[in-house]
Amino acid sequence: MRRKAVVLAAALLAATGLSATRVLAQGFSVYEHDACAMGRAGAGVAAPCSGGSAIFFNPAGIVTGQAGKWNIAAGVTMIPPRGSFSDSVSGTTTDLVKNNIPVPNLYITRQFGTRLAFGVGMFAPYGLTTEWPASFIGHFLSYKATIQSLYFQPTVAYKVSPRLQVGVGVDFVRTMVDLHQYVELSSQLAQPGVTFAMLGVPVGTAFADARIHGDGNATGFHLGVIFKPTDNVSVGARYMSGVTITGSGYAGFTQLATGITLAVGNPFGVPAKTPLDALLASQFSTGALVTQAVSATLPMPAQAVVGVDVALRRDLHVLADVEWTQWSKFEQLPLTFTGASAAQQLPADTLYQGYKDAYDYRLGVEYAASPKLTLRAGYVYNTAAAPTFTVTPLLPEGARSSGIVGAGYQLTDGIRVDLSYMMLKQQDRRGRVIQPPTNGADVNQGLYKFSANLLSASVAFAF
Amino acid sequence: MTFRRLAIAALAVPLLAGCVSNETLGTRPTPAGGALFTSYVALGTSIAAGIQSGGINDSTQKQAYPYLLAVAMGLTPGQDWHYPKFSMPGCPPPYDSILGGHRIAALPAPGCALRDPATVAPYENNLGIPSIRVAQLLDITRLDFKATDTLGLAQFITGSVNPVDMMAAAHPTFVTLEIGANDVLGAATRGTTTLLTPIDTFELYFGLVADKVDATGAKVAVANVPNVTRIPHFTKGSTLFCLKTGACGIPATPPFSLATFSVAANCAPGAASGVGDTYLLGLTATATITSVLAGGGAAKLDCANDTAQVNLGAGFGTAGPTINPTEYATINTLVTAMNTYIAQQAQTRGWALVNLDSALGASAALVPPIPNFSGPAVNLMGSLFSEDGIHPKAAGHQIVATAFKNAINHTFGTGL
Repeated sequence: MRRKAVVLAAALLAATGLSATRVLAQGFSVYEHDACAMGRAGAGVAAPCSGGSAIFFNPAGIVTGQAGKWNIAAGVTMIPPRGSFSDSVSGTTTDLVKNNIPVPNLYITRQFGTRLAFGVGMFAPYGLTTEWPASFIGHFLSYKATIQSLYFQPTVAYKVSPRLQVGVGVDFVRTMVDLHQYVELSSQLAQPGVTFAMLGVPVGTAFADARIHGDGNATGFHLGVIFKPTDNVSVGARYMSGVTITGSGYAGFTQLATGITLAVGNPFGVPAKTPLDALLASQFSTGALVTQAVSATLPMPAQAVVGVDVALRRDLHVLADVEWTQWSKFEQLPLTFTGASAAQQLPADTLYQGYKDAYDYRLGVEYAASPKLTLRAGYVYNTAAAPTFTVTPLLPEGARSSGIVGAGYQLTDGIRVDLSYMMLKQQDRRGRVIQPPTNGADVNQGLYKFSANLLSASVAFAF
Repeated sequence: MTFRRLAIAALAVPLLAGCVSNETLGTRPTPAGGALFTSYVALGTSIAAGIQSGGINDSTQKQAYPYLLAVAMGLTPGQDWHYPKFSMPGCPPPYDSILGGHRIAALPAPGCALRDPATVAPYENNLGIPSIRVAQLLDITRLDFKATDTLGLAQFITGSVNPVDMMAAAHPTFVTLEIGANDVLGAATRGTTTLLTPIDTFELYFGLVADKVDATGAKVAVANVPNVTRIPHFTKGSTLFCLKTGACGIPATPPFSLATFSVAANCAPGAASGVGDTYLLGLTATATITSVLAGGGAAKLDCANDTAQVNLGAGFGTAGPTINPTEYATINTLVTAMNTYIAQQAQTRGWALVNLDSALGASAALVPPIPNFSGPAVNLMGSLFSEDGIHPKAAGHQIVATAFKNAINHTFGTGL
């Protein structure tokens, strides 16, 4: 047999499903943007915390009526995701890499008179880091995915009447995406019409480490309203628009050793003991796996929240919110590449995600134990956004249940600190670690477990 | 007191995080044959692979004993038991007339219809590889005996992954090990004992393979090595002597009875003080003599010579490889030693021992003493062996599978 050149087809990317947008097609919202609010389970659209986090929780809430006052609040929430995947075929369990991810927030507000306030906030309502050991069986879908989406929101609020106040903000959004995954060989074309699988290469043979890195900007808006029908009851609502980020970046590939040394009589026509990697090497220097530009549109879903605050006593409030997140925006996600030449350009890809809108139900209690000490507790239930089809290593998302406790302490007239703790447990959910076949067969072959213990701290200055 | 109660209640709130409905892991269904067979891997030779009549395709693969065992275990090929399915007509397609050199379908070079892309898997459960010797289970690139190291299908079957490594990837609960035939077969078919794997080399690598298998925790059934000198690929010199002379209780039969065929007296059966029972002609030699005689040519057989001779008109030349009595004895001694070692290993390791040699030997009556050249090609080698005279066909695989089942049931108390 004559030696045959190994030609990876231009369909490489479609075959691997490599895509930055896939990262975003998961329920990865973050709601912990202030230790005070977190202590109430995030409930508070009808009565946001006073430090300035109302910029996120309800823009209308930044009006305090304290003319001339400045409020500056800063905080951080540590998110240590823990999880695992248990393979029902092999019986093996792989744990997530233990990361501790800080999510910062910053709010500055200024009261102009008793009815008008301006402010600016920085927070990260969407983001994740999901990292598995590179040897994880699911590494063809992702072994490390990072999203950092930072919202910068100038806001103005106005008290229309003693019982009604409104607010509006403009969101300037900057998003960075970084995705690492392996690329599988058996599904690639060795020759036109002949995949490596047809030459015996086993499914699951990694030959490239792919990285997609990109960033982009977008602009949206945020509206809020608070209405107090009685002295003891307040209702509120907010709407944060979805944004579509037009991102750009690059896709790079590093060759991985397959460990395959070809046997005698191999169909490549090369001598026995020839490393298969030697036949693939040129693809990384002159072939389809050279670094190339990538662009994508990355939707960030809209959020809408309604809620109520009831003062059972002067020192005891009960707050309840219902939030809707428009995850259904992730129906199809386009991705395009620009290679150095037509032969090197990977084809455009459109990925079906099939997400559905998700709801959060939040219940919080706040008790003023003393003039300086406030105790808080709450519970959140989140419905799942990911359908059964897309429970993957990127973010094995599912319904979540969280219990929270927190406390705030007024150190001085102008300084308050808040601390909160959240125990989050996601439902154990069956998911997949491989690309699904075209015949629609169920390949959810294992169980994802996911949990986290979040700690949040904030300090607020008023002067 | 109110504050204390509230504080205690609040501290319990995080426990509410457990209020979530979980899905369960699920497990692979236990096959009907029992949990022992949840993941079955076959390490083996071309017999396990399903070679028949010098070729292989999905039809012959489904007739191979590992496939039969998997089905008997309650596994579903293609779902929870994977075999390297070759697209039709094969890789290469089997011969439908091996003497005429005609396969069931012609394919362009390299003559392989490749693997069926719809059935690829992360690992294969049937790891039978044609031509493989015991050392090559550990390292598929070993080429110690280049004349016989024709592992052309290894790439297609495991992707050149070493079979023991792919076995481990399958997390086997049960393994059948059938190895050793190629450590003697290549020498036998080529008529030279220099191609035999020395017994100490065989034992060394068999032991290493056995350690790898045991390391998986799987239960094991191991087959001993069939005596390759009894396969229908070989024709005894004494058979041709008898067909020539009409001795031995069988009539003289054309074309061997023709005057153009001369057989030395030393080719008589052992009962007649000859060595013809231990002088074997390979299929090429037998077929060449037969066709030359039928065509009016001359042939001669002297069991003191290392080759049979045919005359096509330009003088006598070799008809094809043969095994002389010395080589015969060497091969049989080696097979006996290999099987003694395999039996010892089986006993030491608690494996089921499949006496493949005995199972096939018990059906010796179904093996024709000489290829049935005058009958239909499908019956060239009788009812048990395919046209190449080396590999079993469906009925032969049934015997092999039954031998495995009996040994497995006896050792592990199963009901296959």
